[in-house]
Amino acid sequence: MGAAGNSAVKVEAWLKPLNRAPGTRCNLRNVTSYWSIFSVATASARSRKIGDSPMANATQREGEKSGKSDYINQMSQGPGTCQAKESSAGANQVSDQDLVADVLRKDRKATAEFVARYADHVYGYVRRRLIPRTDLVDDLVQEIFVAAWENLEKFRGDAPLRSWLLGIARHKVEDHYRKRLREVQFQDEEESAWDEPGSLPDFEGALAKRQAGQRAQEILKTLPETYSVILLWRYWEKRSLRDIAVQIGKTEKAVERMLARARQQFKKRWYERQSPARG
Amino acid sequence: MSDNLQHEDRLFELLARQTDEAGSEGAPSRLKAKLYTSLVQKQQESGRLRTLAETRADGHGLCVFEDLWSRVTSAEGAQSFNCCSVCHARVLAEHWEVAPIYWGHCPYVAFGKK
Repeated sequence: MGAAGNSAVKVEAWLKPLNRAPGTRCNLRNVTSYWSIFSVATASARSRKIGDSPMANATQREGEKSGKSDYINQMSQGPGTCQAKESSAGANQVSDQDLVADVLRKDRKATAEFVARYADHVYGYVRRRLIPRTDLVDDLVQEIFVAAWENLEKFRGDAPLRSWLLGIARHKVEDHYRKRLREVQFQDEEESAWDEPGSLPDFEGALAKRQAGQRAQEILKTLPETYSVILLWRYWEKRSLRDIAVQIGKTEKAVERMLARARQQFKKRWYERQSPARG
Repeated sequence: MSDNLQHEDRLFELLARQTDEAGSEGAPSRLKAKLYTSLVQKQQESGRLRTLAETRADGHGLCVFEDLWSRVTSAEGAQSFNCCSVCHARVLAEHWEVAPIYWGHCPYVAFGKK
């Protein structure tokens, strides 16, 4: 048997499980046509003229016949059109409720739209909250979307879908904080006097300047992870000392001390970054 | 709490607000591709996907491969088959930030658009 014969055997073997489904008329001849059409499609795509492909035209015509504002049509009618559709997405977007209903029906196109519409928001939020552990961002975002799918039936539409998703994201981020801080040895019993960190003279003034937020993110990246986590939890997530202490099973005093140390380190680095600029 | 500490708290809260308002970059298209793949996989775990015929009837465009698949099969089980699971576009999109995929109605194409 030649190379072509071997390939045919491989393709038949690949098709075997698919053919078990009743009514699946899939054989080698179909696959041959599949690849013929694939060649036509990719050739026309290469020349960036999707509309010239007979198959693309057929699909396009069907989309037009339906006359419906189709979100995937909006997203991916080929290069060039997509960006324009996205920029005008606000006007044509399917409502959150309709989108959720379609995702729950396991419509793959709606699922794609769900990801395309909300991944940026969730990713941005998680990335800001996980500084300096940006290596964990992708996994956490994935966990959030899976959790969202598992709980999507509970979405009632009282709040925008984006807020609902960010709520899940917040829970996941706090789970991460809790886990990180529980691992840390707090100095509860330390009796030595704690020096209250003094205010550095230019910290307050620098806050009023532009790009203070960006600078803060850079500093958070350089702090020990525990310090970043406690600062983010307390000030970015606006959790009280008591809440944090309860969640990680430590005393409020211990959390307060840890937070003071974190603030001091933050301000020290803020000042260090400021100094060279002054010359 | 001393006045000094309250003042510090206010400064840090202000800083946090400024950081959040500064905005951030969007998700990489590779991540979006992976999210889509894992969501569809999760959907399949609890039963069949919506059939391609239903998706088409609802006015959604099918990619060239889905379109072909929907024409060569008729059973509901086959119509619910996730063509993306065996499509090279998925593999490319999950690994390349700008994947060389150009045909219409492919979700992975849309994820690559900034």
